[in-house]
This record gives sequence, structure tokens and C-alpha cells, in this order.
Amino acid sequence: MKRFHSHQCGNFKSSYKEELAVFQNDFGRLWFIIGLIVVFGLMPLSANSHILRILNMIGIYSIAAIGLNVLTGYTGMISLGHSAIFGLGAYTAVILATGMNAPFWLAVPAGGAVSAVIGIGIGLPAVRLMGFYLCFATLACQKIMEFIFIHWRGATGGTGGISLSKTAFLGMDLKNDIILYYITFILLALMAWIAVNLMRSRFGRAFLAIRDDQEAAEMMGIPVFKYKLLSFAFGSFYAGIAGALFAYYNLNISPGLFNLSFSIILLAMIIIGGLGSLPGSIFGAIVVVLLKETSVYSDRLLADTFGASFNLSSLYEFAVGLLMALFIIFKPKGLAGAWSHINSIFRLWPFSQGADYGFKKSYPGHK
Amino acid sequence: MTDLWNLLFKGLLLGSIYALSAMGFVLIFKTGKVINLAHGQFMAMGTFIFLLLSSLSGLSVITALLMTILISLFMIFAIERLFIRPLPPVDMTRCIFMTLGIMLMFKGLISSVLLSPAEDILRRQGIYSTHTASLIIGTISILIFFLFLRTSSLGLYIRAVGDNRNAAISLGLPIESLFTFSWVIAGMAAVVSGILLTINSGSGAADLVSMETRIFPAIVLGGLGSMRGAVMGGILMGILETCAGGRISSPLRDLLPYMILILILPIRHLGLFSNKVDLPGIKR
Repeated sequence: MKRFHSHQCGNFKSSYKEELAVFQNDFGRLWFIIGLIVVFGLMPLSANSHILRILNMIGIYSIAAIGLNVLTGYTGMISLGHSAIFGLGAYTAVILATGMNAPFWLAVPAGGAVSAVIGIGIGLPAVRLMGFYLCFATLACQKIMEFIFIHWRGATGGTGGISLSKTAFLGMDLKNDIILYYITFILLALMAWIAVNLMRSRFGRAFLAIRDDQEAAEMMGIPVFKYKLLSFAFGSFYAGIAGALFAYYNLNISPGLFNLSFSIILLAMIIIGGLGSLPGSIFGAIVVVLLKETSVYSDRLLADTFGASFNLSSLYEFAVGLLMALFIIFKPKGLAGAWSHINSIFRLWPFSQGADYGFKKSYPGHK
Repeated sequence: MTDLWNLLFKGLLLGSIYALSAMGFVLIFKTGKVINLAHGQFMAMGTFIFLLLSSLSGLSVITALLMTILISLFMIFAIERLFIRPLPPVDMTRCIFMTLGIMLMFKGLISSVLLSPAEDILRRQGIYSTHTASLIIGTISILIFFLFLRTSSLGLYIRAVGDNRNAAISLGLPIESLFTFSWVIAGMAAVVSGILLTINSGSGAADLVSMETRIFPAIVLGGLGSMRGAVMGGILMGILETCAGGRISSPLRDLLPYMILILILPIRHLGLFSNKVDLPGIKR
């Protein structure tokens, strides 16, 4: 009979294998199983179509946010061009599905692959730069790709965008929200699992080492250039997959969807959720999507009550920006940091008074 | 031939406006070591406030300009106090994220509240297209800016903080107030240059929104290390942009700055006119 472990009040690990375990105790394993049952059983069966669309949005943004978190939170490279890469995946999927009759199972990975290749192309000049110079380089890439989306009318349909008509997958119609829900969340679970395990491997440790001190990492024999490119490719692949799913979700894509604001909103997701935390990416996506839905809802409510449009729906950018600023000042580790802080308060009670747990420190590795 | 001179003149106009804005950016960067990515949004915000004020009856253009500068002074003071001051002084990544957050806030405000009235105003009364006047105002502002930093004691203090932070602290300079002061000056320069840019191009409200990142290529081209670099970079970028737009094709005008930016960064990320940049956390 195996002895089950709940929360432990200290660190009792006696081997590296224990240190690397995904679940530190059986409590986490239990919650993981409950979460799986809720996500794949209870939620889709009890939700109506409107809520399903919101959940799909959360799933798609979560995949993109996980990719960006690997790039920005784990490797320490700030990318302002992530929404363009997201858009690239979306455009690839639509062009393949509409123009070349590619099926769903080919269009989505192709979107990811094209995004990863272009991501490496962007990364080649960009990873040699550090800090804010990288910011400027990715900003330039964002603007150039937006320009291409607008002006390459033959492929992208210009400012009007293009729409996707073929949505069949194994005899099912992807316009049905519940089918897209299952595909999105199975992909999210799969990709989150890959990301978690990547972070436990030598790749993840190399990313962390590069983020914390690039020169020390180089001295330890880590090929910094290669790993930075790999991180770029990984983040871009996730963004491309999310973008391709977004194309199937939205059915009509236009360049206005993939602008600089969306890049910053993706960054806001991982800051609100927690830099360098994979569950944090999902928390951030949930918060941002809920803010957006709230603003759309209150806009409609005001329009119904007063009979005039207040155009509040774009005020949600303001709300996200404000929330991002407040999190940077008060909770630099985001919701994930706050969660583990609360957790440790309960675990260490009554000795948790005044303990700091490194919570007020700034982001690791960014001096 | 007159066509080319005309283009050069227009480029010089645009460039001097860029230069004014770029100097503000470099001033913030040198004193506080903050990369202010919201700088373009200050320009756009100032322009929108100016448009709304100038549409009010009974206000002349000059009064509207002065009131805009006054409003933006308070706005930027509040932003510096509320959002930049609480951050640890040399944490560059957090400052970048913070300015991105400020940028997002401004974008949301502009596109939800200010954009549609400004479009109405532009459609109703248009905007004054007086090239020579804007060149004169731009040049005078740059000269005032330079003279202020060169001659006044306050300018000396600001340059001292930019040169060596620790020495400035040990000499008893009130560096926090100096940061705020440099933010306010730079914000005012940004607002003036945003208004000049709108007057100069005489374009619609959609162009105002694209103002958010237009100056960054000019700043990087000139280099972040010195004021002189910022001015030269701005003027060079203005001339290049105008000539490309006039001679080759007009969509290229929007693309060229970013192409230059992505080309110059791997080759010479310090910019053309700057030798060294002392940065915390930037080792190469």
C-alpha cells in the first residue's frame, strides 16, 4: 500500500528525481484528475453555446500564451511580434484549407510549422541582440508582417481579410462549438504537457540558465545562440498552432486582428498570470478573455438601457493595460506567484507570519 | 530637379519633427535608464487633445496648443508618479513592461473615446497645412531644448544624472525630482512634435493611430547614447522616408523605417552616431 502525501511543511526531497517530479504530492495529482474531469466532462456538457465560445477563446489564447511564456518568461527574450506570428499561423491555415483543399489535421500543424520557420528567420538577427534592442527588432518584424498581411492582396485578401469555408474534420463540422472545444482543449493539454516536460529537460534548464545569466551559461558550455533560436522556434510554433485554431474559431481573419495591441495583450496575459510559470499563462488568458467579455457585455447592456453606443468594447485594452501595470507594481510574479504565496501561508501556518519567500524580489535574471 | 529639392525640404520638415520627439526619448533614457515605449502614444494623445480643443469655438490655435501642453504636462506628471516611480530604479525589463502597459492604456482610451470625435472634427474642418510654420516651430523648439540642456543649471543636473547616477546621488542631487522633470519635458516635446506631425502631413485620424511606433526607427538609427545622435537620426530618417515615398512608391513610405530598423540592429545596434551606451544588464 502506497502512502499518500498531502502538503508537506518543508523540503524533504532526498533525490534529484523527486525534485524533478511534476506533482510534488498526491494532493496535486488529485486536483489534476478532478480538473481533467471538469474540463473534458462537466464543462462542455453543461455550457451553452455562448459560454463554449468563451472557453474556446481561453483555450486558444492559452496555447499562444504558453509559447510566449517559454520565450519571454523562461528564456528572458521580450517579443513584441508574437501576434504577427499568431496571424501567420492563421493565414497559413486559411490559405491551405481554402486554396489547396487541405484538411484540418494538415492545416493546423502546417500553420505551426510555417510560423516556427519564420520565427527562426526572425530570430536569426534578433537573438544576437539583448534587452530592449530585441524589443525593437521584434517590433520591426511585427510592423513588416502587418504590412505584408495588408498589401499582399493575392494571398491574404488585403484589409478585408479572407474567410475559411472548409471546416470538416473526420466527418464532423468544426463550426459546431463543442467539437472545436474538444479539439482545442485536447491540443492545449497535449501542448502544455510537452511544455512542462520540456522545462524539466536539459532544454528547459538551458533556457533558465540563459535567462538568469547569459555569460555564465555560455561559460558552462551551453550553446546560447542555438538555445535562443530553439526557444524562438518553440514559442513561434505554439503561436502558429494557436493562430490556426483561431482561424477555425473565427472563420474570418483580417490584418486588424493581429496588430501591435494584440502583441501587448499577449504579453499582458503572461505578466498577469506570472512570468516563468506555465499554469500562469492559462490564468492570464482566462483573466484577459473574461475582461474582454465583460466589456462587450457591459457595452451591450448600456446600449440596451440608453439606446446609444458607448463603444466600451475597445476600452478593454485600457483595462488590460491598467491591470498589467498594477500587477507589475504590486505582484511582479503574477497570479501564479500569488497562488503559491497563499499556498505557503496555509502550509506553514502558524509560522508563516512575516515570511517573504522571495516574493517581493524583481524578475529573476533581469538586472 | 525642383522636385528633388521639394522632397528634400519636406524630408527635412518631417525629420526635424522626428528629431524633437527622439530627443525627448533619449532624455528619458539617459536620465532614468527607462525605455519609454509609450513615447509615440504621448504624441498621439497630445494630438487628439489638441484636435478636440481646437474644435471648441472661441479658442485660437495658439491657445489650444498652450492648453494641450498644459494638460499633457499634468498627465505625464501623473503617469511618472503613479506608474514609473514605484518601480526599482534600474530594473529595465520591468520598465519596458510598464511602458507597454501604459501604451496599451493610451491605445484603449484613444480608440474607444477619442477616435470618433477626432474623425468628425477632421472631416468637418480639416487641419492647417502650413509647412513653413511647422518647420519654424520645430526648429525653435529644438533650439530651446538644446539651449535649455546646455545652459541652465537644471539642464546641467539632468545631464549629470545621465552621466553617472551614483556620483549625482553622492553630490546631493534630488534625482527623483529630476527624473520627473525630464519625463515632463520629454512628454511636452513629444506632444508638440505629435501636433506638428499632424499639421505637417495633414492626414486623417487613422494616420494618427500609426504614430505610436513611427519614431522608434529614427531613434535607433541615430543611437540612444546622445542627443546629437537623436537629432541626426530623426532628420536622416525623415529624408529617407520622404524620398522613398515620393520617388519609389507610397506604401514603401510606411515600410521603409522598419526595414532600416531590422537591418541596422544586427549590424550596428548602437546606431550611427553614438559610440557607447552604458546600460545595466546589457553587457555586450
